[in-house]
This record gives sequence, structure tokens and C-alpha cells, in this order.
Amino acid sequence: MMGEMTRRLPLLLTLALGCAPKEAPDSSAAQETAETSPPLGETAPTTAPTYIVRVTLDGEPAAGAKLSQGGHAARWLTDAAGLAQITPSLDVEGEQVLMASHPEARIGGIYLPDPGDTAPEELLIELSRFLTRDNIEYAFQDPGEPTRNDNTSQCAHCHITLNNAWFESAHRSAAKNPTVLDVYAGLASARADEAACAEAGGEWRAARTPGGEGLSAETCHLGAGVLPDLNPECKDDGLCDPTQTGLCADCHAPGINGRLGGRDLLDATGYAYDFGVHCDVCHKVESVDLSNPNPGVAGALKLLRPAEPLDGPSGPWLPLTFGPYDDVLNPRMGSVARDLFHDGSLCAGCHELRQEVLVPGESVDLSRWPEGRLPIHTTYSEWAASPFAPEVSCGACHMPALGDVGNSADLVNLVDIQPGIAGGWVRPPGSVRDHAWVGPRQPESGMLQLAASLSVVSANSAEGLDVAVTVTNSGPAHALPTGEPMRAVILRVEALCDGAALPAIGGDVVPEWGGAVALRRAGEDWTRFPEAKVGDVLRVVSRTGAFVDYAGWGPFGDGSFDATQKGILEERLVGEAVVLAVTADGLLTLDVPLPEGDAVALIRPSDPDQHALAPGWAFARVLIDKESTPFAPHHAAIDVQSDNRLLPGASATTTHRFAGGCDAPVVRAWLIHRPFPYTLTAERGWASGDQTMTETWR
Amino acid sequence: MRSALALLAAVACTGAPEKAEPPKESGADSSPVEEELAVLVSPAEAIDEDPAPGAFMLTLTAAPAEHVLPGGEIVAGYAYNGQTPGPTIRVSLGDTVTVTLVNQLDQPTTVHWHGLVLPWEADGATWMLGGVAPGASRTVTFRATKAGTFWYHPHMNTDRQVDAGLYGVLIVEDPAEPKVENERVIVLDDWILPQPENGALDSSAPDSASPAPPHAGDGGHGESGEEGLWLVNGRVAPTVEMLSGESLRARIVNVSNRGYVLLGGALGAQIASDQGLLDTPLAPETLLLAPGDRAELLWAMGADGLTVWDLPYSHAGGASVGDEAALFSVAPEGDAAAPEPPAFVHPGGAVSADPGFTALYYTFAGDDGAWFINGEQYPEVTVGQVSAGQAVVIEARNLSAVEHPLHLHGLAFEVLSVNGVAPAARAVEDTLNLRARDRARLLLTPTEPGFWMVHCHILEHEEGGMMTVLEVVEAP
Repeated sequence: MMGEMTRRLPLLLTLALGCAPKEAPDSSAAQETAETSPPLGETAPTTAPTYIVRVTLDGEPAAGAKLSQGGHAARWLTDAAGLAQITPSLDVEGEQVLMASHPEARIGGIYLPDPGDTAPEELLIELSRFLTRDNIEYAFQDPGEPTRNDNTSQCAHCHITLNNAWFESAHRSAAKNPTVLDVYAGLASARADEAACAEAGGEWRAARTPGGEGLSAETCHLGAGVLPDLNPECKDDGLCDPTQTGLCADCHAPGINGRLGGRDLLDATGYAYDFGVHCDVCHKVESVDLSNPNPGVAGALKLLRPAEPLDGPSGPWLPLTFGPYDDVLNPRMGSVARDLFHDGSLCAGCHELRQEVLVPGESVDLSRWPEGRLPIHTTYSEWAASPFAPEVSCGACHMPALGDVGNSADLVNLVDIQPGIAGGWVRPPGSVRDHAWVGPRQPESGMLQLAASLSVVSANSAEGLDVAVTVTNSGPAHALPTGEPMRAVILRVEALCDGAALPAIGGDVVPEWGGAVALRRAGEDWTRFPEAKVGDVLRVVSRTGAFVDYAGWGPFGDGSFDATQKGILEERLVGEAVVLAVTADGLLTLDVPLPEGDAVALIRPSDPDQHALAPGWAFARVLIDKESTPFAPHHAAIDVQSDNRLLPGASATTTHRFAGGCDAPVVRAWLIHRPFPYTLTAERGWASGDQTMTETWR
Repeated sequence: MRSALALLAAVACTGAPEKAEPPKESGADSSPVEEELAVLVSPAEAIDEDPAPGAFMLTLTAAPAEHVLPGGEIVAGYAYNGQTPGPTIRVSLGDTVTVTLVNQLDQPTTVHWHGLVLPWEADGATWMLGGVAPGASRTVTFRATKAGTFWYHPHMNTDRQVDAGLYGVLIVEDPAEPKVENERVIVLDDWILPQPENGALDSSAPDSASPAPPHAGDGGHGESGEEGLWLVNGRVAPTVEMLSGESLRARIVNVSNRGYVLLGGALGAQIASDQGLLDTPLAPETLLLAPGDRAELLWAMGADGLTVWDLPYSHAGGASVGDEAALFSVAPEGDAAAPEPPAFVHPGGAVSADPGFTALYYTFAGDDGAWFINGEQYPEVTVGQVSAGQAVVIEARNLSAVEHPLHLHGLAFEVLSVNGVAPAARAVEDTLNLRARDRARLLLTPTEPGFWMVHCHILEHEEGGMMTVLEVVEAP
């Protein structure tokens, strides 16, 4: 029986192999395994045989090819003559297969001889180079869905668990995410009728429908957007054909067929729209060019879509898939191993963006940014500069191990499949990683709760209760927050006596952009706030004109910028007052006289997202547009005003003062992760995405 | 592989040190294993060298030894007093313990007293204290202040020295506890058995001069997917022989470098964990022992025997590769009915309230041999500081994809909550397994000033940097 295994399979020409679901164990490979595996209990040789293996690449010796036995950890490398001496393990379950992996060829392999047979003089594995020309005619494959996976053309057919995780991920919805599309097209899609749109100051008129292949519908045009801001012709015509797309689709809809990159996000249809960043896109990445400052499929990511024609059930092109493993022989995959799936560089292809100023008529300030580009997303380089690099790459945290699956093809979940070519090999526990890329968008992952730590020190003094709060980036291998610069982490501090809040009378505050009903500066009328309601709070800060000299990211912390260039004005809380009454014309009656200061914020306590000028602090990379408006969408950015985000392991301490009230006051401090700025959320009508990260009290 | 070896035995040691062999209890280890095949006997106990009451004295010699693996292969290793596990030290609560470590190894070593609260100079860690040089000796003295099952092992080149066989059990008995007719000390360790030389060109050799028996070091239980062969006091699936109608107390210690053992089967009552008697006894269906963990189980045996199983488990996030296997069995002789179990007096304390504040955070992270606490790798670490006598809360977080048993030297802690959920019963530990993404809040009141190690007890992780230092200062 084992003798049958000595024949070599025409592996690269047998393309119908998939993996069989529970209902249909019809894999030819699986059946062959059942026929050829030795019966349990059969006497096995006690000494493993040794073989000489020759590996060729297009007929020439393949030096440096990596040999592996399916299901076993050992690896052997071929020498300059393409030769290696191997001793396979006798303990491997399933098909006995020897494979050769070379970076220029699809993985090839042969069945190992029966150890009891007379050993052949040498074993031969012939590899062929794949074409290195990206094929623009290739159509990205259907990833499938948890409820649509009955066809072997779908990745979900075999990779059930990974597909389930990916389907719930932000990557899957990258092209249809309403907030992305709103900022791209200058819309407020949540304002779903003309009246709501008008009330928010928007304009109700036709726009191209996302994912709709040229269809249009009336929607609410409101606020900044890539299309209207970068394409003047789109300003008044939501149906225009833009010339400037901001490269958004290069990462948010990388699976648009045809030309790679520079595509209009609204051109994404079908799989490209429904599935955003999906299996066949990432696993077509052959290499990552980290020197390319542009992200995505026309920038750092180098995709290689197969170009060898094929007349068979697996489609018009010979499969070609890049992945983390060097021992995947299923011809349906056409696998090639790449380290970029292990070392984080694949992630860098989109999570690192240094952008030129895109606003017409504006340019980057070269005195601040000599490279001529603004740092927008720097997650990868933050990690690369951290103590965790290079060993602890992105997946160590964002792709936790999956239990209950033997390999990425759910091997142990499928009956009637033995480890082998079709179903793959049983991986060591921890090898199969979650494809949900857990992070702030998955609160259940607990990632935010693991990211930062807080400590509080307080003491009563003659002036009141003095509090110091230290925030530490105690988890992530990147800055906190990171990624999209609309994000912020907000610290809030309060003091209580017997459950009643003590008035804040001094100390650091959350910036104005922390959210308020209204903001006023010195010189404006502080007596009348027509927006006010009884119970609202007015908080006043003073400014000395000096700037905070903090240690932030890049030039904000390496000595390149002085405090002024770091862009955060020193401001200290002066006092606060509660609105007791409001006249029809907005004249306020307050519980205490409003102190003098340089700015005041009107806060509505019933809105939990309003934190402007409250005792606390905030950490963010703040982009500004040409009007110096903070938290500009990055397509509209002309500068980075400040960047005080906490680098890995870094701490920042804030100080606060409250009116003394009792002998044993309780101080509460908590951190909030905010995905979008308050003003933008309010403008577009988005739901709040604020999450409490951690809190402490003492 | 395991089934084929199930009836073979065991790990024994040869090549005793120059000093006299320590006396053995009846049926003790280190004799030819075939003669005592599959009988579960406790490791030989240390003999008190000080006849004075209230004092216990022992000379503990670490020396090269040879281990006889199941199947008869002999591999080089280390042993304490010529035996692996080393001699069990049994003292009474309040005793003064004096141990002289004699180093006959070719490298420095120490002895760490895992789980004991004691003066930090005696703790065996090397932060600001050197090891005991080859040929040298060091004497430490401490009082046994807490009843329970503890263990000892080196704290230098820890993964290799423990892996080579240097570990033993220390029992602190409380005279007030009821006597149990039968007691077994059960030391669990997993061994990766020798594989044929595969000639792999990129295989890596051990990076240490220490002996490297195939002993859960490289490619051990869980992380590599390989199940090591779990040995119980050096034996494969041994059986406790006792009389029916009696009770059995098992003091179980997992000394594996990184092997997790998930106990299943008829586990009886769990009466104690790391720090002695539980406040409330438990009746677990399964019991996970991470490296460094201890538990005590109690059975009142009738005529029916029982088996405790090693269930598949991986600390790397998935079900381990391998099948469940018998770990040890109990085979009562006779037809007597099960007796009333001994009446241990459990304190019955409730889980303490979380005070809300956090004094220290320990975030575990890492991958691929690089392991961090708070983004730092030992010895380049920030020394945390707390005051003796003041209650503090430590929040331990695990950001990595694999599990980590957090161990604090010289400090016992109460688990307030894990991921916001308080334990069902009050638990006081010195080693706590952190699953991926766990946030565990721990309450402790330090008593002994000094510099205490805080680390992952997967010893390869510890040696890979996952260790830091907590300084306890005198109360202001």
C-alpha cells in the first residue's frame, strides 16, 4: 500500500482540489489518503530512512530551497547544487509529503516513499518560476461569507473560521464604511431626509450611490470631503467624475479589478465594495516597498495577480497565493511563502501614510516637514521604533491565536479529512491567528482596556485638593492613540466628597475640541448664551500665551521643534459655574460669578461626550486645515499642529486642583478613546464612538 | 508515542554527588525503576540535620546527575542531593529553616523558595545578589510562616537548570490540620523524548552550556504543539496504593518549564492552592496547573479506584495536539466504604472589595522569544515600589497571544477579579495564569522589604526578558 505513495503526483496540474466540508467529503486527495495511509497498529520501521533530495527551478539547481515534511517542524535547505539530505519523521499523521519552497516558485512537492521500500537514489522536486508580471485582467476572487460558502471558488469554503472573523472585521467593511464614504464624498448620510439635512445646514441633492455602479440618489451634502474639496468640479455636482481621489480607494477598496491604485472609491462595486480588504487582495501581495510613502495597492503594496492562463475549474488563471507558510501544497492555492505575513510589513502597506498637501493652492511647510509630506498614519514606524520591534509584530496583539482549529482551513473541524495536501497540516497551537484584527472597533476584545494605565496622587492643601494623574501607554507597541489622526484619547478627572463633585478651580484641562455646546474667547460676550439651558456648566480657562513643551511623536519629541512649534497652548482652569436660569435672549444667571479668563466653554452635562475645558487632558495628533481648524480630515490637512500622543511606554502627568471639601475626598480619573472629533461627529450625525478605556479612583 | 511508552518508566538519577546520599523514605525514588514500576511514591524526604525542636537544617547539594528516561536512555542533567525531584523538605509552621546550598555544578546557581514569604536575601533571586559560584556554598535562614505546599528551584539560568532536574518540594505543615492517612507529594514535569537525528540544516542547538535533556525545554508542551510526556515523580502514569476506607491528600506541584497540565477526571475536593488552605474548598471538574502552580486534592476513598487525567491544553490559544492521558491513578485495596473526609477548617473569607485604585500595572507582551513586562526586558527594567504594610492593588494584563503564569516572589496576593469578574471564592496565590487579554486585579499587603522578582513562570519567557522587579520599602 505504501508503495503507491512513491509515485509523484502532478500536483500543479491537479487544480480541482479543495477541502471538503462536512457534508461533502469528496476531495480526491482525501480519498487517496484514506486508501494509502498505513493502518493503525501496523508495524512501522523504527529507524527513519535518509534521502537525498534534488530541487530544481525551471530545470536548474534550486539553491536555498526550503524543504519540509508535511505536519513536521523540521526544515532542510538545499545547497548550491539544489541538494539536501533529509530524514523524515516517522511520527507524522496523514499523508507523507515532502515539499519544497522557493521565493520565485509556487510550492511543489512529492509523496515520500514508504520507509519500508528500497530507497530511490534521490528524490526530485521540480519547481517552476511564476510570472512576475501583474495581470490586469485577473478578477479578484470571491472571499465568500459565513452564510455563502458552498462553492470551492470561495475562500470561506475551507477557511471557515478565518472568514467568519474577517467578515465581522473593519477590514471587510473598509469600502462601505459610512464614515469613510461621508468624508470621501462630503456627505452626511445619517441625515436621511431633506429636513434633517437642512436643519444641519446641508444640501439635499443627488450623489453617486456607493457600490451602485453609477446609480445616483438624493442625499445630504454637508461638510468637508475628498471629492468636493479636491475636485472643484464636484463641489456642486455630486455626480462628477473626479480627477483627485486622495488615494483613499488604494487601501479602502484595494480589490477594484483592473488598474491598481488611484481609483475612485465610488467605483468600488461587487466584491470590492462589499468586502473591502479581503482575502484575495492581501494574499496577492508579493512584497511591500516600505520606501514608498504612498500606501495601498499602487504604493507600498506590490500585488502580483497570476498571469499564467489555465483552462480548468479553478478559473482562467493558474492560482497564485502569497501567505505565511512554506508547506501549503494544495494546488487550488498556488502558494508561495512570504515573511511579510509575519513581520508586520504587510500592515505597513496601509498603516503608514505620509501625504503631500492635497488642497489646491496649498503646500507643505518645508521648514517643519523637510520631506515634503505630512505624517498622517505612522503606526508601523511607531512600532518599528519601539522596544517591541522586530520580534513582537502586529499580529502578536491584533491577531490573537484561535483555538479549536487545527489550521487555517479548519482541519480539525472537518470530518473525513486527514492532514494532507487538500486540508493542510495540523499546526501547532497558537499558529492559526484571528483575522478580525482586534482593536478599538471590537470592544469585546478588551484591547482598549489593556492599552493604558492610570495612577492618581492627591493631597489636601491650603488652596484645595491637589491632584496629579499619570497616564502611561502601558500596552501598545505604537503610540496611543494611533492610526487615523481623527482619534484622540481624553483624560477626565473629578473629585468627590460623599459622592458630590467638588468644584474644579485649577489645573490642566481638555482642549476646546473636547466638545462643547458653545465656545467663546476673551472679548466676546460671556453673559449671553442663547444655546444654554438650566443646569449647563460654564468652564473658564486662562492662557499665558506660553506653549506646553511636551515629549510627543517625531519632531514633537526629538528636539526638532520648540514648544511653540509643538502647538499646544498652556491653559489652566480658572473656575466654573452652573447655569441657574436663562432668559429668552440668552442672559444667564449663574450659581457663582464667572471668573475672568481667556476662553469659556458651555457644557451640557447630559451630553457625555462634551469634555471641553474640563479637568483633564487629551492626547492626539491634530491636523489643521488652511483655516487652522483642528482635526481636519487628512485630505484637507496642511500641517500637523500638535502631536502629544503617548509613545510606547511613555507617561504624562497632569495636575489639577479642586476646592477642598472633606477629609477623605475621592478622586476619579478615567480615559476615553474617541474615534472621531466631536465637531465632525455632530456635523455628520454619526453615533458617538467614545469608549471608556480604563478608570481609577482613590 | 505516549501510548507506546505508557508502561515504561521513568526518570531516575545516577551519579550522585560526593556527599552522602540523603536518607529515603520507604519506597522512595532513585532505585532501579523497573522494580517499582507504576507505583506512585512521594519523592524521598530530607532529613533534618538539626535535632533542636522548631528548627530544620539541610544541606542541599546541586550537582550533575544522569537521568534515566522512559525507555532506558540516559541523559545528562542536574539533581539536588542526587535525586529528581529533590528531597522534599517537610517542616512545621513556625519552624526556622536553615539550608546550605552547596554548588557542585559548573556554573553559578541559587535556590529560590517558590511561594514562601521570607527575607529577600534568602529568596534566591539574583537582583543585587550574586549566585553561588561553582564549588562555593551559601546558607540562608528563614521562618516558615504559612502552611502549604511550596517548592524550590534555581533562579539563575533558570530554564536550563530547572529543565536539567533541579527542583523539589517544601511542605509547611500546620499541626492544627487534621491528619490524613495517606499523603502523596506529586511532582509533575513533562519531558520531550529524544527524536531521531533529522539532519535538518537549520536546526538550532541549545544556546547554553547547561545539560539539555529533552525536558520540555526546546519545543516543549503547548507552544510547539508537541505534548511532552508527563511524568509523575519521574514515573509514567503511576498508581497510588492505599487501603479503602481511608483518605488521600495529594500535594501537586507543576514544575514544568512551560507545560500546562489540565487535570480532569475524579478530582475529589480541592482543599488548597498556592498559599495553603482555600477559604472555601472546591469540587473542580477540571483543574489547570500552570508552571509553578500547586494544588492539594483530597479524596475519601471507598473500594473504587479513580484516575486523574491530563487533558489536552495549550497555553498558546488552542486545544493542544494530543490525546488525554492518564496522569496517575488511585487503587484502593479492600472493600471498605468511603470514610468521612477529614474535617479541614477553611477560613471561609469572602472575596475582598476592590478599592478601585491601582498601584502598579504589569502588562505582559511579546512573541517569538522576545518577552516584555511593561515594554521592558529584564534586566533593563523600571523597579516598581510599594511600602510594607500598605495594601496595594496590582493590575496584571496580558496583551500577548499566549498565556503567562504571573509569579510574584515573596508576596502572596488575593485575586480580586479577572476581567472584572470576581472569583467564586476567595483565592490567595503566588502564581496566577493570565490568559490572552486577561486583566487580573490583585490585592496584596507586602510584609518583607526588599527587591522581589515579578515574572512569567514559563521559564523560557522569563529568560527571554519577561521579568521585572518590585521593591518593597519600609513603611514611612
